[in-house]
Amino acid sequence: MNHVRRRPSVIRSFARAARRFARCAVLIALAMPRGATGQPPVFVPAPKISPSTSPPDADRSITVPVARVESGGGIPGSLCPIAEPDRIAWRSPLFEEPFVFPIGAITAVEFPSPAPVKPSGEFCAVLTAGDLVFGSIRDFNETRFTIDSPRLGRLAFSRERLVRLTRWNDGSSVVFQGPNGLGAWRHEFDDSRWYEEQSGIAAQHPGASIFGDVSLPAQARIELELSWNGQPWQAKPDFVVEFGASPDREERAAPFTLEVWEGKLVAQRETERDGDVRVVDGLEDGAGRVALEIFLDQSQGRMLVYNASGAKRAELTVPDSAAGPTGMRMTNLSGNVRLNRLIIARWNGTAPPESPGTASQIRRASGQYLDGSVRGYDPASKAWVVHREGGREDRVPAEDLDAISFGPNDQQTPVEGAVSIACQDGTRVTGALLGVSETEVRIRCAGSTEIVPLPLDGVRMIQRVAPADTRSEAKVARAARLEHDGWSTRGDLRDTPDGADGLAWQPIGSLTTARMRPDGACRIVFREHPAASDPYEGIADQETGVTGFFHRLFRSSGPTGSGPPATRLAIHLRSGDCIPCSEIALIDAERVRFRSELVEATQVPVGDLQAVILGPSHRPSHGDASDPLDGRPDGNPFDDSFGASPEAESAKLARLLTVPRLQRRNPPTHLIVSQAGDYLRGRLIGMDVRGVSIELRLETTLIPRDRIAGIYWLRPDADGGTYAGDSQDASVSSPSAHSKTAGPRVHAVRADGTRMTFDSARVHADVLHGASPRLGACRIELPLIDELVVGAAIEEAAARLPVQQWKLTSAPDPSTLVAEGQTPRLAGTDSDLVGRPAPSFELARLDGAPFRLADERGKIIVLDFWATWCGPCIRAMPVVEEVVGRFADRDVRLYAVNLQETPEKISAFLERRRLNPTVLLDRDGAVAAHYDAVAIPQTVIIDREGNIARLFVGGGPELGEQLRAALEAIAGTSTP
Amino acid sequence: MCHLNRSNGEPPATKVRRVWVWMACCAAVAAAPASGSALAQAPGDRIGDAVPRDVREMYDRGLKFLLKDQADNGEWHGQGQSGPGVTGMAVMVLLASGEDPNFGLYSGQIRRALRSIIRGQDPNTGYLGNSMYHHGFGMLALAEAYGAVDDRDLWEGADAEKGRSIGQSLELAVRAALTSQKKNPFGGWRYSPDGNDADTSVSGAVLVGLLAARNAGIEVPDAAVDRAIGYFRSMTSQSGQVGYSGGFGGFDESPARISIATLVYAVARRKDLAEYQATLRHLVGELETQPNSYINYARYYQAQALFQGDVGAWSKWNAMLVRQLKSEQKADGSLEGEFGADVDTALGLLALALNYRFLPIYER
Repeated sequence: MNHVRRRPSVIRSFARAARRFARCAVLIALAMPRGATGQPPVFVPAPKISPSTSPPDADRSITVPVARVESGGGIPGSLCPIAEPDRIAWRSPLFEEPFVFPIGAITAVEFPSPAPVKPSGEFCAVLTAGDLVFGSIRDFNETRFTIDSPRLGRLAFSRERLVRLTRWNDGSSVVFQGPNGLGAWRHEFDDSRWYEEQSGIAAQHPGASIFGDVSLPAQARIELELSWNGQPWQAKPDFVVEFGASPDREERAAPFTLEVWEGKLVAQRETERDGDVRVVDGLEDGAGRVALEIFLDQSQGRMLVYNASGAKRAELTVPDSAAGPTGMRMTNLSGNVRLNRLIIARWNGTAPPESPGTASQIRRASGQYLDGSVRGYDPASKAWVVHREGGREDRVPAEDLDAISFGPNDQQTPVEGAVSIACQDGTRVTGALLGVSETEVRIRCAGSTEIVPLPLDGVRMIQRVAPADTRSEAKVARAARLEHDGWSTRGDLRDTPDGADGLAWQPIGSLTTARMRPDGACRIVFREHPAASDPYEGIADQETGVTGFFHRLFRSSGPTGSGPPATRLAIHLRSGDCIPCSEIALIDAERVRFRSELVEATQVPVGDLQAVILGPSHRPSHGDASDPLDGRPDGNPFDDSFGASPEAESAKLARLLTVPRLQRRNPPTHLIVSQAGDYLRGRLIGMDVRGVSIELRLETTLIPRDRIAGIYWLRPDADGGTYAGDSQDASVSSPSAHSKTAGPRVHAVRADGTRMTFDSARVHADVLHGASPRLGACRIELPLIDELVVGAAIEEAAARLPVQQWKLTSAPDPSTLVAEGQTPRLAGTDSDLVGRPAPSFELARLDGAPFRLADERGKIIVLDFWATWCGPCIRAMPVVEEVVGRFADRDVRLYAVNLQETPEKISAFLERRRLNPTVLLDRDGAVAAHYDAVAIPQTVIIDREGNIARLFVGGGPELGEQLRAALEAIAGTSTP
Repeated sequence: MCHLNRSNGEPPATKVRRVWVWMACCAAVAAAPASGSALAQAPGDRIGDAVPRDVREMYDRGLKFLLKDQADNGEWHGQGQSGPGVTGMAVMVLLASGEDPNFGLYSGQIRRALRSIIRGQDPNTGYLGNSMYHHGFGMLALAEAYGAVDDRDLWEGADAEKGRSIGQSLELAVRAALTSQKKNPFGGWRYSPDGNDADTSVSGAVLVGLLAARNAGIEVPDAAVDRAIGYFRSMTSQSGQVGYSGGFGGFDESPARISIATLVYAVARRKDLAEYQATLRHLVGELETQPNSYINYARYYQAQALFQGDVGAWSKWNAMLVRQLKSEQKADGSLEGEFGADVDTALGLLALALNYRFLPIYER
């Protein structure tokens, strides 16, 4: 026995250092958001645990029955009867018929379990393969034993399967028996969880930690079996099992622990005053297993650890004044670990002697070991026949025996059979699956000849133990992914069988197809969207930028998506549909008329429209004030710095969608985008061969069609998200009488961005056919589809489209009104920036000279933030120039900070307006951002000390007077 | 057809029936003087086509709402403000509907409303009550009804009392307004008849009432009108913006006040003034500009001012108004606003009523 005894303080610091180093690393990793590094916080490659690695979603707890499939993922649903052996028939609520899987294609069928149930029975028989059967012994001889199980009935097993018999007495002395799934445990970190594997629970992520209140008695006997996988060259397992743990990780507790130190399994405890650590066992490289019996006396602070053969491996005594909590915590620090068995029983405090080490160990209720081997059982007298040394036979009353171990049988030794069935009460049997009825699953247990009809009520899991069916592995990569109810599985949409209707789906591994129910809701992904490859892709994906939006729209509006087609005509509907058209003839007050190869309809009501794409849009390189598309008198705000940065884009988008206060009751209803890339807000009157009629400032203007890239419908914010489907405009009738099709409503998304919503009818020769009340007959080729959204998920998906984010918002009201009776605050002092040092900056002047705010210290600086497109700025500018001019002799200087426009445009504007301020060029709006200039005009006065003295927003008739008064106060009456 | 311009304060002895309905209007046109006529619009002056169906439906829905809120005593006590001004607005809505005021659908309601205005008038001062706002709108309603509503039997069947005729009441009201103005150092009006400052909003209400009375044949001294116009000129900036009250506020973007000034210049036949040109230019240049509060008050004046000043601009503005009211009008026909549903509905409908042009004050 390997003892390490050190001075407590040394032990404490050693223990702390070792433990905390390991935990910190793991916990820091857990605390780090995944986005922060771009990598999930996994430090070591997760090792494989046989027979197969845990599938995705394996650590997911379930709330409905789920069939986990070998190809990955799971199908929520219900088990259906099937007479054939080694088959699982599984019905998903999405489908009309059940799928039939060979057992090799299923990993497990799981049912949500209520609170754990304590099994009844006199004995607990531990069998190979982790099986557990509770009941009373009926018969026992050299080759067979028979057990009467309240749950399974009478069952005879071959003797080789028996590992151990323990007195159970209906679990009267047992306080916890498991693990029996994860029901009794709580995950402490959501992104690294334990999961159920074979008959145990396992963890393979660093830091995966679970806590369970196992009602640990003050004096407890704990049977524990842990195992781990790995190759000899891999790191050894590293875990901590705490007995007497507090539910709160942070709370100071002094649990007894089993943990790994420098490749050795140790038992240790550390309190405020004392500490001790003992080596239990060295750990071999590679896979391993440890079965221990632990006697824990928390009142005495004593822990005894015995191995499976009954040899004492460690004893430590570290008393603590406070009684420990009753919980257990298990944390995986690296590698992997699995808890196969955990039985916690009350203990009388008497330490058992070490066993004699014979093959069959018999322990009496008194704790003493009995020499000899069990030969038989007499049910009549309820006595065991024990063969003693010297040929003597003793009859030992059943109640006098506590446990019998039968030689070196490994509990985990695999046995013949296809499935292992775990029940809520902990019963677990492995054997051949013979069939499933409405209420029972029939199984022939390994080592047994009887067929057990096991009631499905009470079954927690049917787990495949036979080798996986690998024939379908190659298909997985090519298959589509069906997502439903938070679960996903791989499979294929098949041609609808002749004579049938609807959509036929076949999951990988299933022997059958099933028709999707018309009311189903799911998503089928045929191809993930390709990775971002061009510089605007990222912006588009953010779904905010102006460019991103249009880029995405235009990228998606061509009929094939391969290069810019000659003409790109498309209509976008509020439903999220985008239909490529060969012709768009007319838009009037009621409808748009078009032709498309994909749909039968030739018109849709304008109420359903989101946008009409008439041609390509080019990023402009310069503004053209004479452009008839430009409704503003002084040019286009988006021309020169378009695409500068995502911030600038979103600022522009926000501006584009903001309705000025005075236009609130008459907001623009449409946005026209020219092929030159200009934007115009107004009200669409209609479109015909001559062009597009649009009302601008209550005047009607006709714009030639070939100038226009697209027309977008703007809807007020209040209308946002209320669109519930096609409008019921009866005046624009549907193309043909629409009758409900056999399949569900689908929303098909093509790689080129085409999106179509219709009621699916069937798949024939790789073409999905259907019909829509609005679009008539629809057809779309399956190989071109990236994604198919089915049922109720359609509206959800449509609402996430960037175009749906385009909502007009009202400009905020000024907060200038002062309630009656209040003393009005000094004008220009509302901003939080007032009184703070002015953010320093350097900008180029319009004449090319550099400007540094720091150089102006000692002067009073007036910064007037403006742009040529801002009417109020233009009105305020002469006023500001005039007022500041009056203070020129007092070192007051005016700088007009232009927001994001080109020098050429600014010069032309100033010339036209006969203005002559010193202009600074804030090309990317960074300085405006520093000065919180979210609305312009904004006029800022910086005093001689370099602090912001006043900040006026919005100009207005009072600005001149307010500015004058402020400068009087700040500049004083004479030049210093 | 003739107008009486009597200076003795006596109401006209003969009841003059002004003609409201279209056919009668056509017949009357020959006798109408070229300008300043109290006649309904001559057919040739009508702009555009017949009143669109959606406008008629909107108007009728609003009317139905207002009628529901009229109390037995003829007043409106329904939702929001009440008083002779509110009653007056409702009377104008009924008159503007085009229904014959004496024999048509709403003749009973019109009479009840007029009786309530007259009954509430101070018999000594002529003050209609509440505030000069109410006085102004009440006076306007009396002026619009004068000559149109046959008041020989106005009081018949109504209690036992025999009240003043519409003409008598209107003359009294005019006198009250003139007395108030005489005392006012600015030549305008304020909330109280005894107020010693003035604002362009109250002054507009009273002056339009006075001008309508003058158009209806009641004597209003030119000097009084000139003084009031002088007040408005003093409140009008070169850019066409109109201040609210001396010493307060200053010029800002108030479509309502700019419209009031434009309207009083026009109805006072002072389109020659530079101030009129300036306010009209401003209005036409900012057609889409609308306030976010008291919108229907602004619309009421904007409609009339634009119609008086620039029919083409009015026509564009009116299309926007129809579009907006269509979306704002509730199912019960009412419009919402700060004054309460009765006033806001009445003001909104009166703005819309320019499409009918049955009210004399709407004549160009």
